Amino acid sequence: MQKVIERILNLLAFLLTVGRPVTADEIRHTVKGYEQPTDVAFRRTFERDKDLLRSLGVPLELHHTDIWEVELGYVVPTSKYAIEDPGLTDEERSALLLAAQAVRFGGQPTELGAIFKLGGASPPANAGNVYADLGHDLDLLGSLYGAVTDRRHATFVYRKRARTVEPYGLVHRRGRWYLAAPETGAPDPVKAFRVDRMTDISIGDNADVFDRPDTFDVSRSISTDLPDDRPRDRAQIRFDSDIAEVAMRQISGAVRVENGSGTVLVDVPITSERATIGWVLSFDDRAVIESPPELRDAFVAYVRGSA
Amino acid sequence: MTSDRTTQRLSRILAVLPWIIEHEGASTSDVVERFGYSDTTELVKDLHLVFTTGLPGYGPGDLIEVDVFEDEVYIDTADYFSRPLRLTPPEALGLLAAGMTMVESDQAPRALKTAVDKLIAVVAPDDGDAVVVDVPTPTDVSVLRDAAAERTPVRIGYVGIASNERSVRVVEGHSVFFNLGNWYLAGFCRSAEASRVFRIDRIDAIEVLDDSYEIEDVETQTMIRYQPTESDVRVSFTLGQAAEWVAEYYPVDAVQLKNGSTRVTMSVSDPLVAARLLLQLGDTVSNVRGKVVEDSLADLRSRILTRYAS
Repeated sequence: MQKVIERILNLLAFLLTVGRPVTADEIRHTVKGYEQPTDVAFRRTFERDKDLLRSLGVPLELHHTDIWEVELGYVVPTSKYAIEDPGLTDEERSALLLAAQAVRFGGQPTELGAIFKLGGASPPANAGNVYADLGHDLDLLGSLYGAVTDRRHATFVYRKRARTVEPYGLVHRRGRWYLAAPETGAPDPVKAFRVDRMTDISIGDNADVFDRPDTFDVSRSISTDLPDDRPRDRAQIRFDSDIAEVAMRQISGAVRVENGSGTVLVDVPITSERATIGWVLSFDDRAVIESPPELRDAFVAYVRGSA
Repeated sequence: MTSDRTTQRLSRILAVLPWIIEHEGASTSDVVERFGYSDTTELVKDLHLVFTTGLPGYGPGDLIEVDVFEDEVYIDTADYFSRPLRLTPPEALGLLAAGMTMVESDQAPRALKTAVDKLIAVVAPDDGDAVVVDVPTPTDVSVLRDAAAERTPVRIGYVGIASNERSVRVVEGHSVFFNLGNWYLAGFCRSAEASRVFRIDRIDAIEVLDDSYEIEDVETQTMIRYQPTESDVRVSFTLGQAAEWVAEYYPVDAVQLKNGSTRVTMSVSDPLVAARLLLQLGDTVSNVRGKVVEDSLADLRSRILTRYAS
């Protein structure tokens, strides 16, 4: 491990100071640590080192070494290497550390590398007792986020069709991650793609390939309610008293009509018949549809039908 | 393969160098604490390693100079490492989303809000609104969090997710957590004499009791995960097209059949949970196999129809 780290520090020091594109061959003969006896061994080592540098966030680019454009060499532009100083106070760093420790992604605790890049932080005295898990793979979400901020295309398979999109933003809502993005060539409408349903995701090599309209609002582009959620009618449902409170909370606009003996009659706005039946069934035999009669009949037929 | 440990160690070194360069004569204990070293020895190991690297020539003046003088540390001739690396997109998103989650949930100090704003200003100045984290947080969450922080037990009315039965329980809260769009209370349930997790929107009454408790070292839970046990019952069924989401939503074993439909096998601790799902899915599922669940389904259906008989 020690040798690898020494070699990479030497490589990075060289690339940050040389001020011009340098070929792999020059690196091999100049930088300490590349004394591999064979071409194959050198190549293998060098490829690994490049991957490692990129995974750390080092902007390793390939440019032509001269105006004749015959050879390509490696460059680390110093302007892109460094983080701009956000001017955080120690108190703010500690607050970020606490948040990073409390919020996980798919069971994985957040790596502290990002906090270190910001200058490290002293662990807060009280660890707190509020946590969250935002699900999903942070590396994958991060690559989509990079596409948003760099204005790169993203390509993936969604509902059995390959698509190329212009990623506008990411939203975590109702426990899932959505990518707000129009498909290329069809800016309207901006669609909401569930990230957990994307497969074969890849991010385009070129940055700045589209513009995001200034007026675009990521949060509003992904509706809070399901598309078909406009209430059309109301229904009256009788719940066993002890679960009525919890049931009423699940539907905004639910109104208590009357208390019976051991039951509560509740008036609720309803969407589709299918959705309402599914919801009432979630209470087993502890909820009974009283009206409208058509809904009540449809419910009974539904329960019988699946015999 | 280069190991993750190599990457992490290198990443930390590249963050520590700029900090020491900027804070000449920084105390080793401060560096150790700030960058999560286990002790000074571990830090000194990293510094010794840096000491042997530098620019081509690799003689005095080319190599990075590191001095640890009593408790103070100095680094010289390494100006090229004087600024920390930019954040990778996953690092930036991870920090932003973590910060926003805590700010949204109203559980954060003011410094976190300003930290998130400053971070956005450098990582995505044109895209401040490109990440949104919705964390709807009812006041019950704060009540339960505070009670847990003060080690005060609560008496709650709770409608079980599996049973749909309401019970009253006394709970010694350990933490609250947000997962899959819901808030949960994790703690020791005195009534069940075991650790339990309660979905907070199914708690319909909270009474903070005049009592206290100690918290043992327990693993912090942040995720709702179904843990199969030996006493689970299994049921298999075939999903029609309208029910294909079931294979994505629930932890099931799924196989693709020749005709394109999906056959799933689900295991549940309470057969009622599977019976309820099957009843909801209606004719979008077929060929249900699994005696215990089938019996439970028949029983559930007849109990429901009884209430409509009058």
